Amino acid sequence: MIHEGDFFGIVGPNGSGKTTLLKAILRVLKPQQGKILFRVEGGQGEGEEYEEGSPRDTRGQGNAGTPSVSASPALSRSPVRELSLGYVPQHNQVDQIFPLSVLDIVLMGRFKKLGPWRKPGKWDRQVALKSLDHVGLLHLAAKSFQELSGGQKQRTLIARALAAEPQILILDEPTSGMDLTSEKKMMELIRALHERVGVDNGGPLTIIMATHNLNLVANYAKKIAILHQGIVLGPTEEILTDENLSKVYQTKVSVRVVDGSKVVITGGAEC
Amino acid sequence: MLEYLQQPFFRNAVIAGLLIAGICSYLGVYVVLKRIVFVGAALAQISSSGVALALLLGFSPILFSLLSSLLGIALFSLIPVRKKIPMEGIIGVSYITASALGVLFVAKNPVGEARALNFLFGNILTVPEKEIVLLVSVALSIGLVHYLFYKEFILVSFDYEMAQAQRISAGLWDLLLYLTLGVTIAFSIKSAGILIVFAFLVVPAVTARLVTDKIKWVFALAILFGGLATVLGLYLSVIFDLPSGSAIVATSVGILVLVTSLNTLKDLPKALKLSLILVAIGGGLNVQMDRVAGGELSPETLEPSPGPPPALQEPLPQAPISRQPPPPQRTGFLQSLNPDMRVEVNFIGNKTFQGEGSGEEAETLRNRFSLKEVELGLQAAVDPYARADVFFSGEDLLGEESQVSLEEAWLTLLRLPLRAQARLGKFRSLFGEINDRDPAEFPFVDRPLVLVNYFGDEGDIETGVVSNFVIPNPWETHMLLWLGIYNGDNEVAFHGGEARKPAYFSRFEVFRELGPATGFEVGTAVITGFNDPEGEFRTTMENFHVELEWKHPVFSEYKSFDWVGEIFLSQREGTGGTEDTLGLYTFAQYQLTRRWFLSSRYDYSQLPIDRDSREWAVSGIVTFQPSRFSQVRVQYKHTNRNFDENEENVDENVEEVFFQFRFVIGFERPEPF
Repeated sequence: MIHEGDFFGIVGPNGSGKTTLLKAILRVLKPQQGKILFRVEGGQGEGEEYEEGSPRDTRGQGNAGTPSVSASPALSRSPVRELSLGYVPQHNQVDQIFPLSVLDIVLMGRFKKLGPWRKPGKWDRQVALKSLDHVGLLHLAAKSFQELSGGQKQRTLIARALAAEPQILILDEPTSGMDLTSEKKMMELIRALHERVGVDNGGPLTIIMATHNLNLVANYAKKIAILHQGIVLGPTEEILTDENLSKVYQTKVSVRVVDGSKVVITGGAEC
Repeated sequence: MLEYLQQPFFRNAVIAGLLIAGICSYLGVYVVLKRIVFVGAALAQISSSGVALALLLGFSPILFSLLSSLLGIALFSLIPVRKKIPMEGIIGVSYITASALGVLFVAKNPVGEARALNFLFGNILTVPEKEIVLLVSVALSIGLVHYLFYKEFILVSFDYEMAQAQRISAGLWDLLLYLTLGVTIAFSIKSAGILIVFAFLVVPAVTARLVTDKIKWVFALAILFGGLATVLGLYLSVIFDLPSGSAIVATSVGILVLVTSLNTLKDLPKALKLSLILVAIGGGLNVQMDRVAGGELSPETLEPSPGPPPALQEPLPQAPISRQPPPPQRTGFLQSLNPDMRVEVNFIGNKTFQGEGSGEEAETLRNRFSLKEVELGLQAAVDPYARADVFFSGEDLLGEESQVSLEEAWLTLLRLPLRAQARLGKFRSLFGEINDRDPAEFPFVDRPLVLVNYFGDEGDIETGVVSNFVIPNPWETHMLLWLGIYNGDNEVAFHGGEARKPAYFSRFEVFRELGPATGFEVGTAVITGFNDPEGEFRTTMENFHVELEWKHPVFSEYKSFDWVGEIFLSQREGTGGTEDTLGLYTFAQYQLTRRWFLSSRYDYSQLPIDRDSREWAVSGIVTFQPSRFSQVRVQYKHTNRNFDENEENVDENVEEVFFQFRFVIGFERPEPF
């Protein structure tokens, strides 16, 4: 169960289905089994469960053991129950030859809200620039996306997701291909967005992040799910234990604290 | 360039080419950026095999082109991708299947492989106006869809997954994008052929992408480069007599090479690079224009082929100057310093059943075979501004009075101010429509009575200067004015050059196309000079002529109709006052099949010195023309006249049959008119 305002990490070995799970939440892929259910918390319709994208008057049926995501009511005026999900793909999975500027790409986040026909207007531009400001790339708005570094590309894609004014920000391996410094900066940024951008909307921004890097989730995510022939889910401190990890990764894994940061190491070496 | 645009077929080709270049180059940006170049190639191939099938079955090519293109899209988007076979594999199989089917359909086409292939590979020079209307509507619809859904198309092309995640119906938008591509390819293939279409889907977009990093500029420049390639390519194809499609594609690639090489100069600002490209292209165009203007390459080489040609050749330079230079590129290197040569032989047989034809020529021809004329022509460019023509003629070579003489010799100045040309020397006087032709070029064996009576057996050959002007006008009508001064060399009409007093000549002619297959010409001319050695008595003659020519819009080589009418008026002063006389003839010819022609002629003429003496004649003519270089003709002629040699009143009928065999070796005179 992911709650509104969570910073949720999804970890697991390669091939465990992290990306597949994210795509199922995004409804890009249809689950072969089970459902992704959302439950209304507080206000009108308290406790009501529904499937994302279902017609408004249909009620959800039971929980088939799949992860649930909580959301506030009356967020969307469309005839189907839709959440605004901001998706951030890996920067190296995005096309590299399209001659688009950073602002062009961030504006894409507005397209869903605009609907067909309508061109982005002044307001959309302001939202896009604000999103760029959030990720610290305002000065690069006019620059060509191709010319950016990996980290800058990733930030642009985050800004694009933010421009959609999402209720949930979903990131797939946001630090892939980054060195230690960039990795840290990126995670600090995501934490800042979790706290700052979310606060504008009345609470921390819900973040779901999939990564194979246990160190990242250990230090940033408040809750995690480990995917491995099933799912282990709960607060980070409870889940990220030597015992759980060793079982999942089939090798000795230890969690230690070094200089105030949690470090996950393999081979059981003592620090 | 502008003179070519006055040609309807060239104008149509430019318009159609620009429309196709516009939409294909625009969509090409998606094709290149989405990395679906191979899909573009396969769709084009599938579409063109649809055209081939339609031609085989006799259905509408556009409909089949569209259906097969949409079928291709359905195939690519609906067939589930299997793990073992990549999408490229399916596209490749479709491509090769479509190519093979296209060839098979063409091979089995009863219309003939050549014609079907022409359809299949398209000939942008034969695009009819109807198709342009269709292309305009396609371009407008595609343009509207792309204007409305620009952001959706960009999003699904750039990041399909993001579009899915945003719950934008990514699949539908992608399908719509492919549909616009399919429709565009289907309609363009029919008009321009597979080569041009596929080239426009790739080359301009690649070129534009190299120049700029801004997506909107990529679209704009792709369209610009596609358009430039069309105009420049068509122009070069006409000048150098190249296949239009390949010329356009080669030009397009030429622009790409130019851009790539300029792109290596990395330090230059982009705007400067773009201007350099445009200047270089413009420069190339200018050089060509200069070559044409300098007479080195002449617009007269413009000949649309194959397919339905325009009904009538451009009358401009051909009417006054009947002997054209051969296209320069056909001249071999070693021969380039020699003049071109031509020998024409006109062999005539006559059988007169009753009476005797009038005039010396009729007397020469009567009841025997005559090698009427053997003509030797030499022709060469003197320099880019002038051309020389010399014709020697051997007449009556088998008879007793055989003689070889200089028949005509003149210099043509091709490039004078005010779009004028001038001719100096000895030549046919251009007075009247048929008078300016060599007798061997007549569509009948004998000279019409009126010309014999007014100018004698040779027609009016004069020494002097004449020049012609094209009169610009806004009515899509071709107007020409001739002004000339002659010696008055003709011995029948004038003084034979003895009285050193010139004859003045003027002619005005209007030509207009009545639709794509019909041309209409009217003209008038006046010539005035003295008819006696002392230069006391004046002869003034007027001419009015009209010609209507029709060619079958598709089978222009097989069916045609031609009608000519000419009236001559003469006011001849003499000791007894002024004699007002009139003569006329009218001639109609119908082409039965490719090689057989049926025609008839009616003549009426008074004698210029005696209005009471008159003769009329009717002729029926059958012509067999195995090629443009040889001709066999039989003519039956009935003549009635009311005078005899001593100009005494009689009522005499003449019945005669002519047989003519004519052939030419060497360069060919183009058809007058």
